[in-house]
Amino acid sequence: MRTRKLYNRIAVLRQERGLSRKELAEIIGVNFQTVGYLEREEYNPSLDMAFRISEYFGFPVEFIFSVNPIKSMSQVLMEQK
Amino acid sequence: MDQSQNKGKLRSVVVVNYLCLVIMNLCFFYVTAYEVMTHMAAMLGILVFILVVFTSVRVHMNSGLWKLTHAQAEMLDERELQVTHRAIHHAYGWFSIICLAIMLVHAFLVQMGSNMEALNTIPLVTSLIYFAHTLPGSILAWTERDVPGDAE
Repeated sequence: MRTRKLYNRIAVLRQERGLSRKELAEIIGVNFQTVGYLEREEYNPSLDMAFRISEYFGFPVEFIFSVNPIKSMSQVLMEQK
Repeated sequence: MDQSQNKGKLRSVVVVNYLCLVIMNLCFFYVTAYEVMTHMAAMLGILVFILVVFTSVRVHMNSGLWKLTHAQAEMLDERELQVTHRAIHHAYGWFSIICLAIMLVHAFLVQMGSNMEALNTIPLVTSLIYFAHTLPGSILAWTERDVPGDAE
């Protein structure tokens, strides 16, 4: 079965909190390489992992993950201008 | 050294490893099947065996692939489980085909009148056991972007 690619904001949120991949990996209970795969959008997480990530960052799942490409903050600001 | 160079290097070591395994088996096959220059063939077989061990340590032990493919399911996260299962699935297919091909060649040789019963099959069987254990790791070394031994 072909699955849709999931886009996410994990890299931005992690950097905002000043965490390394290893630290985030320990928090959500995965290998640090898995965080790399998630950030590069090369791996779609399970629902359980998506909820663990959203619970840690304190944002809804649909804010962190999307089936459409996520616009960067600068793009959003430019569009609001 | 960047990641793509590392990947290329690991892939070449995988190729060298299995190539050495084949050469080693041919050498030991020659030693048992023929009577000329068997000492040379045995020496070459032993040298190539050392190379098999050396390259195997590089691909499977130093990279952490052995640990990944032989770890208990509870020790792996969901992505690791997924890639390991996929690698084992492919390895099972390849291993079956290779074993059946060896059996087919053996059957042909027996049919053609070769004295295959006199052959020492210990190196071949040992190689197949080694192959069965290392093939999933080699597939991961070939296909995965990051291998467990990579630093962050």
